[in-house]
Amino acid sequence: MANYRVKSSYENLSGQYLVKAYDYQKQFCHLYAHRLAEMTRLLTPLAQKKWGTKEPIKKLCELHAEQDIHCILIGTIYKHQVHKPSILRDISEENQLAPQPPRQNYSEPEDKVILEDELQRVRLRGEHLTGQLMATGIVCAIIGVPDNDGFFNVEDVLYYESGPQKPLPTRQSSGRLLVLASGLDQLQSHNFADSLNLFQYWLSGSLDNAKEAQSAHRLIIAGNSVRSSAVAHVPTLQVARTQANANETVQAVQQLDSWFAAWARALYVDVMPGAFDPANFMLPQQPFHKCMFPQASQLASFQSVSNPYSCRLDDALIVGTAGQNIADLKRSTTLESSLDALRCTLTWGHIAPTAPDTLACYPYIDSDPFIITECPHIYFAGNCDNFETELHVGSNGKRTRLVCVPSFSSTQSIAVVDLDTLDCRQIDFSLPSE
Amino acid sequence: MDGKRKFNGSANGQAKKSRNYEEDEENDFEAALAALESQEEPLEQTLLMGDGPENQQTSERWSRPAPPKLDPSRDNIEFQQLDVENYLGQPLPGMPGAQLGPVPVVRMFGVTMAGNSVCCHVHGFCPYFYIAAPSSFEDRHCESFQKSLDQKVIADMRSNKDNVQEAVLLVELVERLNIHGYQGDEKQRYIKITVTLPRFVAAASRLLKKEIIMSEIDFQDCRAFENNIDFDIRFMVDTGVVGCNWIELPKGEWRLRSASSKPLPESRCQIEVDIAYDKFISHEPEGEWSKVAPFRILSFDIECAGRKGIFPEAKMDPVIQIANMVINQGESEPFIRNIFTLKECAPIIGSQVLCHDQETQLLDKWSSFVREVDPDILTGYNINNFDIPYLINRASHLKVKNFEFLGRIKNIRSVIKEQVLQSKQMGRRENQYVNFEGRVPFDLLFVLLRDYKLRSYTLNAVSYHFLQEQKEDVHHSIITDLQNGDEQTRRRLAMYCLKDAYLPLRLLGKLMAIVNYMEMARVTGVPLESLLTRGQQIKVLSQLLRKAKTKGFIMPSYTSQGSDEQYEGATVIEPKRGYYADPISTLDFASLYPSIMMAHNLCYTTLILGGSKDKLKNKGLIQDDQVECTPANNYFVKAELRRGLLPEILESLLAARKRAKADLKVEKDPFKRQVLDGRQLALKISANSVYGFTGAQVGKLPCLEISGSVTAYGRTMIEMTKTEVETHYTRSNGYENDAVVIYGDTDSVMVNFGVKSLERSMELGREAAELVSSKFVKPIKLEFEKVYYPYLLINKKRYAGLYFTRPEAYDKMDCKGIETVRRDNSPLVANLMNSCLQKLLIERNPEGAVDYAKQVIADLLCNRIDISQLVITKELAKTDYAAKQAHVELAAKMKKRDPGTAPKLGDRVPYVICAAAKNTPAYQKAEDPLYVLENSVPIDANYYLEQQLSKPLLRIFEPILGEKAESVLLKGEHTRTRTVVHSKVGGLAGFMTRKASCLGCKSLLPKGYEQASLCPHCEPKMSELYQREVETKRGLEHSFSRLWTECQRCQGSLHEEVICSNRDCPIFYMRQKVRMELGTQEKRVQRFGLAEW
Repeated sequence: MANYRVKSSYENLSGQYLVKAYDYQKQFCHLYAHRLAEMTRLLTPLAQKKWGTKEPIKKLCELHAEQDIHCILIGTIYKHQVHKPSILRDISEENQLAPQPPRQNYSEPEDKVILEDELQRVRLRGEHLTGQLMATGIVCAIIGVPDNDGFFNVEDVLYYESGPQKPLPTRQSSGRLLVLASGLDQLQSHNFADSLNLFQYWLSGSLDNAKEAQSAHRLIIAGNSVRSSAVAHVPTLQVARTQANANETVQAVQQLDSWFAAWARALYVDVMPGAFDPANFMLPQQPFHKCMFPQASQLASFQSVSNPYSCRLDDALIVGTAGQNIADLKRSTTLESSLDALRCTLTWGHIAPTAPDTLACYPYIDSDPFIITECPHIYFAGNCDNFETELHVGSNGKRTRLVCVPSFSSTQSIAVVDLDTLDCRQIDFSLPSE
Repeated sequence: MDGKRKFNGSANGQAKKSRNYEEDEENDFEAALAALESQEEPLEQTLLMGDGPENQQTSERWSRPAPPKLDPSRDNIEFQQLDVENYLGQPLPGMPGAQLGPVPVVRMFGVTMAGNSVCCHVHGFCPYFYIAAPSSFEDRHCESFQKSLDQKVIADMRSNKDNVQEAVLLVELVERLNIHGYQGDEKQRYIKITVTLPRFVAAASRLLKKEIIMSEIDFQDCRAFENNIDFDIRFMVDTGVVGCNWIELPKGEWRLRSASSKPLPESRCQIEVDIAYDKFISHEPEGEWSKVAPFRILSFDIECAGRKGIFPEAKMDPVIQIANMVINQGESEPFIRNIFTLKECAPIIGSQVLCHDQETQLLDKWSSFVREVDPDILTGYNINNFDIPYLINRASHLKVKNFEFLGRIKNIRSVIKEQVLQSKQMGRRENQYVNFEGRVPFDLLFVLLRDYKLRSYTLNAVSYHFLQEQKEDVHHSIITDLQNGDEQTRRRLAMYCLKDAYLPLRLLGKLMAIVNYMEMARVTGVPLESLLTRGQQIKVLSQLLRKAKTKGFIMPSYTSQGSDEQYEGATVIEPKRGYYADPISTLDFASLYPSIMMAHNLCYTTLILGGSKDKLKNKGLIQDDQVECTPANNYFVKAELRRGLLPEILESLLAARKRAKADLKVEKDPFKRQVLDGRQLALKISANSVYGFTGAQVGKLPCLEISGSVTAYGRTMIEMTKTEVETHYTRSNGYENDAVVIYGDTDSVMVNFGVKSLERSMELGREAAELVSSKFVKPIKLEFEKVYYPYLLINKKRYAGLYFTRPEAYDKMDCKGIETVRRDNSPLVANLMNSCLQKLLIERNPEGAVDYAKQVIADLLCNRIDISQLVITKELAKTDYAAKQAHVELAAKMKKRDPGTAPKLGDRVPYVICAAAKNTPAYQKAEDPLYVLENSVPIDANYYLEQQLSKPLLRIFEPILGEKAESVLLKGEHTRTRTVVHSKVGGLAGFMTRKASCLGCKSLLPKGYEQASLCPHCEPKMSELYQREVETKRGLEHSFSRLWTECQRCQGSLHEEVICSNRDCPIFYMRQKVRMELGTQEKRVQRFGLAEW
């Protein structure tokens, strides 16, 4: 039976990610509007603190008469990108010659960075502004001067940086570990069955690692447990047809149920849905239904959680996603590593700025659950190409352990974080023969 | 605004450039010929005068740069002229011509290189015409003839309000040659009659026919020459002015008008001068003088606040916004962007917002804005028939003083006239025409209607077609609401209006329309404006007159007899239909008809008129070997005796084109490249329209002997090519196979050499082209251009193939005459045809194409096709059609439902055909697609299959499947399964109650399970069934996000709601549908209970 080796308090903070009543009659503008209002509220004192109260905070519509005024603007970034995926273009190409393969990255030096407030837009330019590192949906404060060509010359940019952080008591390592895994890709698991078994042995402490296993406290599985790649899409004139490969998936889910049940006997297991899992598509993805895991759901130590997921373990605030936000950001910017992208979202104070523009998300009307208002201690993204980590030190000495959780199916490895020291390392289960 | 785009072309056919700009335009010669048969009704020359306001200078940005100080004795003036017109004025002392008023004065408007506007009055040019001189007429008769005719003309005037004292200025006996028919080189005697006013040309020629002018000589049978030439064209021909060329006024020859001069300035131009008609220099548009002045183009768009359900009427509905964009030709961005609004409007960065409390003030300010900006060209979308007349009518209704003074002459008001243009190319069009002395109205819609065949001519459709951008479309019922909102909603409207003013500029730039039209004006010698308002004939006429003048020829005037005389058209070699998997080489005659005319010296001047051959021979003017008999049995003299004018015109056109193409190759500057490319295109089109001119039966000078001979030569050449190729390329001559000509049409021949490789077929093609060319008279040349591989030959003028010009990769998929995009077809047809052709030609997979077609048919029958694919659109042109029409019936039905949003006259009505009881006529089955979506009304799949898909499908598959095509495609296994949707409205729908059924097996849920998702039998499979529902939801969520974010982007604002109702947009219905389906699907998922842990 589970040892639940170390006692600690746990609080699931994902309530904001659960959608109780769906309404698809709404459009996406409300989400942007709310995000802007909320972030403006949060950014205003910071901007005044940074740039002083002498500089006025202006609305774009107030700028016309008095040009050349040095001022602060707060607004949503919109990046105009020629190669941004467009369903209109897809439709018109669908019947054309060779369909263009989707671009892995559609960032271009010519991308135009635009700031939009409640009413208007203005093109931005400035030395401090690297458009290729910006993304649609970020809300920020900028200071600078408008010019006659309809540009705003940016001198400095201010982001929210995810708000204040509750201090973490400095402790010696008590050996409590948070285990982070992702991309178990049960459909492809025949390719790495031995590694998966090894992982299982490691969890149970039968690899001569009893002490380590003892300290493993909680396992978060960050998405793509069932599959980790998209189902190929055949272009047709018809509306979406149901996939015929449901059977395979159903079997994979059954298999997973046994794994999860086994693991949950050793430690707490939280399972998040991922981009390609049988869950809803839009962020936030809702927890898997209980009926999918009849065995595991019997155990109190097992639960399925939303994606994004947020919880507090003793004092440590943990926030993470299955990685869609990071992958989408990498496509639209020149950010090369997942770690950089992850750090950016923390700086911007928003888990998924590109939602809803290029990342599907629910059309909220009076909230934006993705704004980070309390700076987490551990901030992770699942399904990364490889393991990367960094202890990020933000303003006011905020410390956040950033973890790019490697995809198990491609790296056969996982990440563990010491909940007290925030130390982080990778554990590799790959076998030479594989 | 969208309501006004009621100007829809009658065009049907593939969305492609029209024949004018098509590479293979020679293929379409009959059509091009037909297009020339146009009737031009001249505009009434009435002018409304009044005292216009002075120009204001309110803004540095708006006004033109200040003109330099000019000294007539020391400075030359050079300007590019854009408009040439004439008016009646008083003679200026010291100028040639009649000295007693009134006299015609030509006015040229233009711009200098420094961007200053110029108005140049040209004095002393007088209208004239000729009549054949009776044999007894001698020099000594001239004076009395002049006096007598003068009296008659003066007496003939009904009133003499202009106080004309002199009508016939001069009578001379001159020697000229009649252009029509070879009569030897000896000139004949003609009487040249010069009159004082243009209108006396017609009067004098009428009186000559009717009355006795001189008792001793009879003029009634004397044929009149050149009495039907417009005065402006006459002036331009005689002074060597061509459209849009550069005019130089040498120092010492011109006079400057100023506040102290006499006469005073009449125009709003910065520089206004007078000059004699024989003192200015008209530069040929070559070399340095091919440059383009930085003229100003104003593009604008208006919005009106209409009432619900009624097309805006100037007497009732206010103008609420006018957006303006002004660009300098050659620059990429407009330098003035502003919007005139009624009531406060929030500011817009980068554009000036000018708010007005009163509509009269708005109109007044806009009119002074136009005068201050002083644009040379006015553009917009459908401005000629909507925006401009609406503004003028509205201003006159509100009695806005001075609004109509929009032109460049201070005291002339712009007024609306009706103009009817009848041409085969564009059909009969009733246009409104508004005069803007010195400014050229250049409506983008006219350009598109003339040059492009499109499925739809709405600005949305056009911008999607050329820029691949959808345009947000605000429904007219919303416009009034936005106007009545606050300054932010009006700003929203303003953004929309600005976009509509900007798009025409972008399109003009993209299509290089202005540059191309300017080059066309230069090449053909006619004013820019006439290219849009008149037919094709005037262009050839202008060139012919210019050429004739240099050689002493004059043109008889011809009155149309409307004869039905026909001549045989181009030949078509009977196609050997089929799907050819081997490469098919195509041999084309380069500029076939022009080449024939040059090679065989076909011209008015070389034609031996019927029956006069023997007479000429007897006179010793011709010998047998100097005459050529055409295959149409007409005789023409050979070039050594007399070179024809038409061949010379063609030669210079083609030589100029060659030069332009050579220059284009080395030119680096992108703007100059545009000019050169426009030029070579204009030259090509002009060369081809010469042939059409000779065949236009209601034209200025039709000559069926020429046009008939041209086509006859064309026919024999096609036949001869076929024979040559088929006799030379044979196995017995050592070639791989016996070559077969599988098809030939007008100017191209398709040859199957029976070889497998592209390289070899190209090699043989080139060789054959040379071989056959050597047998023809120069400059006729057969060229090898392309190989089709594979090639699907359906019928005459209907084929498709993959087009190769080099063996490495294909250039494009080329489809001819396959009606993929007919306006009354649904997009499904076009898309299916396109996909099938791609599978056939690119993937070379005939089975795949058949399977694909079957799959789509199955999807159609099972209701799996997206509704936007099934939408048919028709314009609601009038409501009282004789026969009942689907879209008219539907519009009436929709009006009953909601008069506010129902389509109005002039709107396009989209509809789908819905299932109904048997024998219900189709016009009753039309339904609004949105209504269909919202109420799940079942679609009449059979209608789409039988009326829309079957014919085009069978056409392309018959060459492959043969006779069994119909049974395979339309009657196969795949047509057995059908899905019937249950409508939420009509019939029994009201009596049905919905009971919960199992999501797994659809059986009714037993007692005690009413709230459950599954029946006891299906419960064990819960996980699987749940995943199935979630999977469907995933797909819908994916579409939902992509569709609605696309609209959010397209409208250019993240924080504002999407209100676009652009039904032409392919995603309009999709986004509505996915919304509904996602709601329904979510309910299904919810029945499994929330995923709570």
